[in-house]
Amino acid sequence: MGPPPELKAGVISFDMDGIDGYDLAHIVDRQGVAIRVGHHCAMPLHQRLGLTTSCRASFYLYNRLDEVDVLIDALLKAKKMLS
Amino acid sequence: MADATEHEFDVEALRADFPILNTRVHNDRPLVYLDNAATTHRPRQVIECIKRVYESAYSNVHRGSHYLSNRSTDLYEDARQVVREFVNARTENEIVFTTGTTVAINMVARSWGDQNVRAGDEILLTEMEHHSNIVPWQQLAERTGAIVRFLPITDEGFLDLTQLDDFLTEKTRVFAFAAVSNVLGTINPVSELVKKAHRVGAVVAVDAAQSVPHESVDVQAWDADFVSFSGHKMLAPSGVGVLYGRESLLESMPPFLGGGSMIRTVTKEGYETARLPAKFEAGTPPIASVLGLTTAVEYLQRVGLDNILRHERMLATHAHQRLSEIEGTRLLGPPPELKAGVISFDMDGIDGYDLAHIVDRQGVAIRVGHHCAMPLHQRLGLTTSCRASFYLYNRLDEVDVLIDALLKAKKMLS
Repeated sequence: MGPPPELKAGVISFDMDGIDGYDLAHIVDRQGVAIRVGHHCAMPLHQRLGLTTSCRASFYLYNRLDEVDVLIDALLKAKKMLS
Repeated sequence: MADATEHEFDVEALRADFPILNTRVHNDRPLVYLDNAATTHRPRQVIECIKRVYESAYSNVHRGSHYLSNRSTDLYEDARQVVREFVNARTENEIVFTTGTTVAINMVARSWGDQNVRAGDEILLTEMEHHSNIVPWQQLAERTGAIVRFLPITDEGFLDLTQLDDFLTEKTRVFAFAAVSNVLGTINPVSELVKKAHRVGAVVAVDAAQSVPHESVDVQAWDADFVSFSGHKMLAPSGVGVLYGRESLLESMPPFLGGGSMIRTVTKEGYETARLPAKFEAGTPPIASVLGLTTAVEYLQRVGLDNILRHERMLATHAHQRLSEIEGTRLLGPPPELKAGVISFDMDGIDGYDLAHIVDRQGVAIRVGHHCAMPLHQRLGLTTSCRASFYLYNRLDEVDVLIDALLKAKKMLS
């Protein structure tokens, strides 16, 4: 969701087709990765996007590049389990 | 943790828990901290709790989709239970975390007040209130056309209960008063006042900022409708306070602040509010401070509030005795056996700021000014007063250091 990375801040929200965000975040959490799932206090925006929830990864100065890879591996694992 | 039982109050052991009390001030003098009615200090247990939270358990609450967020939320809600038990509220829905007493009172005046107070209604306060229990009500009166009245005090510093029936009438919508005066130290008969207020159908809001830190408070025994207090006056971090509200009243009130957490749903057309207590906790709360408050409550419970009150009264009695020996000193408020550990005084012909300045140079921290109670000082015929206020970690000989410093100041200024 949202603009391409070069045009936005370090916030990436996404939705995976046919997979419940809460289930996804739960499995990702079990891999040690803290992301947020829900409406992120922005229900009207989610309505506009045609969603009830989304998953969100957001970065700060202390995050490492390989942590993104850990997230992706965790998401792939979750997707496999939930598909 | 200091070994203090019901029969034994080891002030030296307690002091060892408070690193800031070792501070040396002005020319290496030991700090004598007698400004506890303004704010208190934190024991290392609270400081360590904050450190522990930030090092291993911090995340945003009520947004749980991961380990830290869930852990943080669990600790935050456990804290609510600790506070609920501490003041004996019926359910956790009656405990709203705020940023302090001031915000808690403003919440009541805004949320309950705007919904229930109309032009011509009366808001009853007392002459001994702190500004934070005056101004929000004056603002409510400005918005609604209600009338603010002040129950007078006697020359001895008690509420003048002989006039209560003239001030507390069917016109009174709300009676807001302090359980303990921050200047006079007067301990007001809360249950009795609540009973009388309820008899005329008034809602009661108690400012317990000077009460909860120093005496056991049971909100059900008081039967008050709202009770507010602050963490920083009871060994907890600054930036956290509590509003206790009767559940049925909180249910009927609109939210005060709008934002995240306080809603069930939001559309472009409008919003549905969340259940209690989330309804009154918009935005990210002071998470670490709330957790620090739990540790402070546990500390106070271990020491025992009855022991603390007894200790403060012992200090206050000694201070009263010594102060009354200084010629030209006017002690404000009731005698020590009838009040909390707060002693305000004025010295004839001596400016309070000059006095406090010299006393400070001796290492003694007292407060001078109107203590956010200008109407009270007007009633007392003063613009300012000096105030010494005690807490569990004060020693008897610190009172003597204060007296010596006052005598020195008096000599210099006379």
